[in-house]
Amino acid sequence: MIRRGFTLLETIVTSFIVSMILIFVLNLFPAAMTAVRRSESEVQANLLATSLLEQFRAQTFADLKALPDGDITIDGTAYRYTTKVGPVTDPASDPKYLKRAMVNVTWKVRQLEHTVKREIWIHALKR
Amino acid sequence: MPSNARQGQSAFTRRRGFTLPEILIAGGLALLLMGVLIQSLIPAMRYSAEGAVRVELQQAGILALQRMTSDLQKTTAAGVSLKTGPVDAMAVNTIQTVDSGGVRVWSDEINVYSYDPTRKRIEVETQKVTTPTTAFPNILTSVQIQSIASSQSGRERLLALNVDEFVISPAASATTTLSAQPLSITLKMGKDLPHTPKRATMELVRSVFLRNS
Repeated sequence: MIRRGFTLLETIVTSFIVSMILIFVLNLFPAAMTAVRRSESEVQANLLATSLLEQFRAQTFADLKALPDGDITIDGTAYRYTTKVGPVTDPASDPKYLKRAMVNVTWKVRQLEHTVKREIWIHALKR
Repeated sequence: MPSNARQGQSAFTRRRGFTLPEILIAGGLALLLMGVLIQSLIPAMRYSAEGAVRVELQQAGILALQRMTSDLQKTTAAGVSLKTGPVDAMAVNTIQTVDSGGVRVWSDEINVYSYDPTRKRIEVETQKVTTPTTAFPNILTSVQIQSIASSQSGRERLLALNVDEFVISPAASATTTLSAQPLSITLKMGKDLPHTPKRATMELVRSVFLRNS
């Protein structure tokens, strides 16, 4: 037989390779979108964390205490924040004069959880 | 001999190109497939365009917020005056330096941040104080802020474009001044997306603690 076409095996292998490449390329687009959403939400979470830290500056040093936990939805993403007040990591420092306030913001982008942690040190010294 | 002749003939007939109808059909099919593929890529391209616009809005908003918060961190509650009613303008007088005696020296310039609802932008205008005091913060009344905000003096500089809403809270009344408290600035950014009726929006909130002393 002189005029022969491709065999079934060849066709199957070729179409498999082609569809694999297509699937790979098409998958890149939603991934790029998710990356944009993630970086967007990360900026929002950082803004939220910095704003929460400002609340600690508003408290007097003697009554420095954690804020109640809360949820906030910005641009369709739900952020959950928790705060903590405690001594700083340096064991030589006196918590009577130096404390740190910590903020933890968590949120989800496509079922994947992300966290932003920020802290400030607050002192009782006179300026 | 006959087999040889057949071989020669078949070797000749085997080498043939595509016929015109075959080429046409193949080309048509290829075009059709490409069309289908591009159709499926259009939403992805729209998403990426939307993403680019959102990033642009967010960056513009963050920069404006940073400019305002850096001013607010250089002042105390007494140096900030707000427009009454819906607060979309504020005047900030910053501490310029501290002299050798440890006394604050207030700047003789006031930065007025205001929202222009018709052009949808936030502007900042630096005003020289007419009777400057360096010992006390220089403040403006709500009426003065409003007149600076609404005038087109040519001295205003653009802080952010595509702003739908600019709100400073808490709202201040004409008589009371601010005390040490977090001041919250809300920016709602928005821009129409090209080739779609959709609109990209972005809300940014930032609080700054105003010191009393």
